[in-house]
Amino acid sequence: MSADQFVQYFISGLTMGSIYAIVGLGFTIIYAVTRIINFAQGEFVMLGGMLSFYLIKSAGIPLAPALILSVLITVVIGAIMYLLAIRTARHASVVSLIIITIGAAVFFRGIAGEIFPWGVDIVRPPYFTGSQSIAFLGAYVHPQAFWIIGTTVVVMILLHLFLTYTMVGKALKACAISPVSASMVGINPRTMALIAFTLAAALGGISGVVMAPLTLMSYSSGFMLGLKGFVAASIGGFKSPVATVIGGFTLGIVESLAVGIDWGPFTSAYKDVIAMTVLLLILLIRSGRLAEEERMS
Amino acid sequence: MLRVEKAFVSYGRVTALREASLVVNDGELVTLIGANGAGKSTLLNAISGVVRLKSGDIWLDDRRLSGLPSHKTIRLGLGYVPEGRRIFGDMSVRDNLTLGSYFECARNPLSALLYVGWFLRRPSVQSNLETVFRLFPILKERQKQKAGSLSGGEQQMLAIARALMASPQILLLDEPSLGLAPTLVKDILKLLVRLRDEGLTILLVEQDANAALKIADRGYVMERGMITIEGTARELLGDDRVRQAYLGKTVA
Ligand SMILES: Nc1ncnc2c1ncn2[C@@H]1O[C@H](COP(=O)(O)OP(=O)(O)OP(=O)(O)O)[C@@H](O)[C@H]1O
Ligand SMILES: [Mg+2]
Repeated sequence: MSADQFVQYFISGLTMGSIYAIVGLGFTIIYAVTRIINFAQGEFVMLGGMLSFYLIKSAGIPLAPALILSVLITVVIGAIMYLLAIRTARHASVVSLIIITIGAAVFFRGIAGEIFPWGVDIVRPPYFTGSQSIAFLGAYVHPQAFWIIGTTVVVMILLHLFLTYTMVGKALKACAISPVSASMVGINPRTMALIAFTLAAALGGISGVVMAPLTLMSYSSGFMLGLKGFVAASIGGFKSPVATVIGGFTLGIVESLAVGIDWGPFTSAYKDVIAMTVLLLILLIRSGRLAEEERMS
Repeated sequence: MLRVEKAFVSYGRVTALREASLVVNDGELVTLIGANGAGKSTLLNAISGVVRLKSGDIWLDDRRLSGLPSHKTIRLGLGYVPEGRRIFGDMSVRDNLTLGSYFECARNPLSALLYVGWFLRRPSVQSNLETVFRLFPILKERQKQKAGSLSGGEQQMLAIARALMASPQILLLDEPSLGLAPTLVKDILKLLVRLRDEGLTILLVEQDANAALKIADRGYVMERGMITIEGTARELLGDDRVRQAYLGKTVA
């Protein structure tokens, strides 16, 4: 691989990695506050992308308002999902709640395959600012890739500021430490759970909206995206946002470089296998560590 | 005035409270003593809404606390220093105190989105913070430190300070002396007397019955989920049953 090619693959890895990171953050926030692993996280991404295509192409709404509206609708869907499916099952165990999120994911995918006029076809919403590639360090980068990286980085910074410097952010953190202790200072853990689902849906919707023009989107895209975000989050142990972000970028870059390297007949077929391999490795290491900790205590 | 009327609580098949009743009048320091497993923590948890009553009633003046979840009872004027302190160990001392005033955010949700520094500058929050820093100068020194890195005594002070940040009408404390050196225990009890003298109503659960009765106005003795003895602190200190069972004295 030449240096130029390396830069090319590296940047495309950064692009996908930033998406994985932000999807992973959705997993991490919900897990931290509620101990639920939300398997519908990838569907939020799919919904964001599909809605943006629908609003621009079928409803004829101009680009910028359509993008904002798509994210808002996804946020509302996330909030409704929490209120209808999670909150009402108040005495259910965490495992049942996780199964409910799987049900919600299947539901979202089924609905998305039915209600949009293009059915199960793959769609591509318009690029934000054309498709004239920009020369960058010897590589050619699609402007949408800059939009993806730029948006996700800005969102991550805003999220960090929100969680670190506002009262709700502190309350979410308190809830992540212990919902019972949080309730003893007047924090309603259920309100915090609703906020976590809303934030996660916003993260999903935003990433779906910015990535769809470049990566394309169909009703079934959510599963793989969710899986990649899940891998990023599990690198951070579902606890550390920083490790989740690093995990997401690492996964994106490793995937992209692996596709770029010439593996002979197997080239590029292994992209998704890499995520699975990374996941298996993490699970092996973690379960080893858990066993270790159990022995210690 | 806090009134607990025939509170009944069970955990599955274990009955922890059997129609326990007690009253804490405004400005009183009342102590609740009893052996391990008597149900003292359960009673405080029931008052604060952490556990639900099976039957009975709990009132704070004309506000009914029974049936409310804990985040609501706290907003109605209850300050709770629970067993085991339950401070947020991974957060700074200052953040722990700030969260003590979180009830303000429940009243005014937009303030929850404020920058924390601005929130702290609200007059009510700021005056509470000044008050607790005056009571616990050590917390002012340590405010940037992680709460989990404080000593046991400092953590207990933080738990009390955090509860005071909500300007409670009544303070519930569950064994604040647990695991502390005797001199620290004295300091904490002295502080409670001082808070009472400043007008705060206090319900104190304490293992050290002797120390608790020495500072309290009135006391209740709990056994197997029931209130079996009640009276002024002086009466209880002189009561043969109390002396034998809780003060470690043989009756002549
Ligand atoms: N979460 C729970 N689940 C089941 N049983 C419980 C639970 N919490 C308390 N109990 C039981 O209820 C009874 C009262 O417990 P509680 O903690 O209120 O006692 P306590 O008077 O505070 O004791 P201690 O002095 O040891 O703190 C005990 O028999 C205890 O085993
Ligand atoms: Mg107890």
